[in-house]
Amino acid sequence: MVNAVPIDIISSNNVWWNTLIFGITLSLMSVGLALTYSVSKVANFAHGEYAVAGLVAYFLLSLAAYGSITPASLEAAFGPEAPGVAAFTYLRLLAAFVFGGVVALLSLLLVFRPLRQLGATPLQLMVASIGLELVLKSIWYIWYYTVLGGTNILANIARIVVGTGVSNGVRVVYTIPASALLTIVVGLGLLAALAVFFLRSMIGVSMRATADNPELAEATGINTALVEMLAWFIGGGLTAVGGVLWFLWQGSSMPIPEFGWTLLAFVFASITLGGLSNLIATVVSSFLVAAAFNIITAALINIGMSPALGYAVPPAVVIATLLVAPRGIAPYVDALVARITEWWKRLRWGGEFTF
Amino acid sequence: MAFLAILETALVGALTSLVQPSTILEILIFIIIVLSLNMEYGWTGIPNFGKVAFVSLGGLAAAISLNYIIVPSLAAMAGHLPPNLNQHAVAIAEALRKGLTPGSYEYTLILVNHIVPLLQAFPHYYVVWLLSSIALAVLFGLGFALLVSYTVVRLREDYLAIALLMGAFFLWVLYTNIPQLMGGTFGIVIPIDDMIRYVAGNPTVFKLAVAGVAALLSFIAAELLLNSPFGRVLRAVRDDEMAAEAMGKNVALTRLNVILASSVWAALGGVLYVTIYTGAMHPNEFKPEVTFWWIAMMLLGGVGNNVGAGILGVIAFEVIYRIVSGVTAAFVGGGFQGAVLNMTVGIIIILVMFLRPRGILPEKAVATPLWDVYEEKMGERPPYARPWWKRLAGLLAGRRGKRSSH
Repeated sequence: MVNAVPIDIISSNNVWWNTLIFGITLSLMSVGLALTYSVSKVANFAHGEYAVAGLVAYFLLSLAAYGSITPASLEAAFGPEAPGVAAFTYLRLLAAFVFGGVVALLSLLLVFRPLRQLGATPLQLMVASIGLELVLKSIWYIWYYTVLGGTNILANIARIVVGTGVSNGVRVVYTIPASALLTIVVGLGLLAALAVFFLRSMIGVSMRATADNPELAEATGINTALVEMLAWFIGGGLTAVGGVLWFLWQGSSMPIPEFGWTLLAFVFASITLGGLSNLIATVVSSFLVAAAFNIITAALINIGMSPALGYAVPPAVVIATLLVAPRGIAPYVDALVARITEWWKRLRWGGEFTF
Repeated sequence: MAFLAILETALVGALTSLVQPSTILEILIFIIIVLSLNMEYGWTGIPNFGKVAFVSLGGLAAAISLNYIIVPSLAAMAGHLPPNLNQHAVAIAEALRKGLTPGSYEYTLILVNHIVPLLQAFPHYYVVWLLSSIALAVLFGLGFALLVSYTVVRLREDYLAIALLMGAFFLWVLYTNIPQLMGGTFGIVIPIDDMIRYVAGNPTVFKLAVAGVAALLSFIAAELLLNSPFGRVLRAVRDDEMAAEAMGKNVALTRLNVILASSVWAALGGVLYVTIYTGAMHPNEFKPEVTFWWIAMMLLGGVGNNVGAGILGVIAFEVIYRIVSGVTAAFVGGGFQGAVLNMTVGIIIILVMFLRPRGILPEKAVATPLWDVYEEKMGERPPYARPWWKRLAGLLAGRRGKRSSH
């Protein structure tokens, strides 16, 4: 085993694995914003900061447990040598969810709801969210330089061995990055849980009702104020978990407080492409945005230009979407979902198939 | 007592820095930009969160006309000049033949060492630079405003805000990563004072005069536009889109016109910003967050009120900014100054939203010809429709808007 060459099955150099993992994390964050937007009708420009809130909670717990932050301590998720660590990783992700959710909930309770009660228009709420963004970002900045000393933190280093083999006469070990496995398991699990929540649970259905028509939902006996608070908590929590997972995969090439602002462009790109409040379309468009970003970045590297130019993709997606099809892919996704539902009903209750 | 002494030093330093020519210059140029922002947000209700994109297009125009008009035309003079000047032109031509990227160290050296002596001999090139920048800025401002907002003006405000902010983000990424535009991460810095000195003698006086005239002109333009029938349409669109539509006004076209006009205005402000004030065409001057500072100024002064938002807001913000940065530097140290200032801007925005959503000087009714009819009937304009200088005179004379007797 000593001389074996490690080979990553899931490589961060591969466009499609990058797309899958970035797509999962981005869809968590975008669903968070689409949720708060659809319930409260506030285009929240402070949304990216909730992702940084998740990182804050994650790092603080890591710091408390290990004394210092190293790549290994951050992402030792499934390591066979440390079976207790995996549980701790899930605990940290839970803490990130709760802290991100609490920050989002506080911003609703301290800023948006009182302002709305004072008679602020959606336009003014949007401006207030910008003020909130600046405040949160500065708090994260001060935290980052006082607690972490402003160092860049590497990630995506821990590897899980999944098998050995021989390739061209050389013994090799097949590995998977721990962060990739964590993202796929946790991210897909959260998305599935979200689907069950919205389709089957009473609270999820009330949330969708509130998003569609608040007055009617209130008249039906739904406590819309409580539902709104829950939506913000879940939205902030999903964003925080998405931000942590993305960080673990990507590592930090920039100061962590800048993350929120960079992620905001991606999140707005995918919710604009997803029609602003359509959750299923938002998940689909997140993967589209992630694919566009990764393909174009790879192409830029191939033709010898700066890969940072790839960050122009999300704003370009927003501008192009609003110019060409302002409702994004939402109508098409809705039609597809309706057709699949129809097929499912036919399959279940009988009837003839049509294509 | 050491605390009080440090505080006093910080405050005195902050307040003296307020009357420096560079601060006054900044205030004058921000007045132009904030007035154009007020035209969109205050009068028409268009949340332009990407104002800095249009200002940066002015900077881009200046950079492009410097790199691709002024420098090549100076290089083309090589061989037609007396020897002491010819060497500079030859050096520039040599550098262009080697294909130096704007923003590289060698390019900056060429600018500083060879362009300035040539400009000393041919000062009209500074004026050519200014004018060609202005022409390009108008083109760029119109083009980009059309691209970003052409279909979005028909949608809700949220879409407009997102589109404009993303436009600013897009341009900023391009500027940072394509050095041919604005010099890339290093930017293009030119010795502006030297250039001006050969044209107009004292640089400070020249800069203040140009910026002052520009600010005055844009204030007058803003007042005239606001107090015209067009200004009344803008407020109708802002207050009730459906009613404006019912009165036969084309809401989308009105919004598009306002965005176009205000973008050109901001781009011209951007030209002045780089050619008169900083002399640096640098991507970091045009980060997307910069817009929020102007928004804070406008909210603080009074949305929809040219005197409030445009003048009072900028000055009040500058006072707060200087005091906070002075006190932060004295007590916390330089490292967190940026964060504390950003937080101050955020807190200003949120507090104004809570405590005084209409700003220090609230909006007044428009003084359009409709009020002339009122005046004929009533003998006097209603107090809130009087222009601000008459209101001020009335206040000073202790007369508070009496109604006439009949």
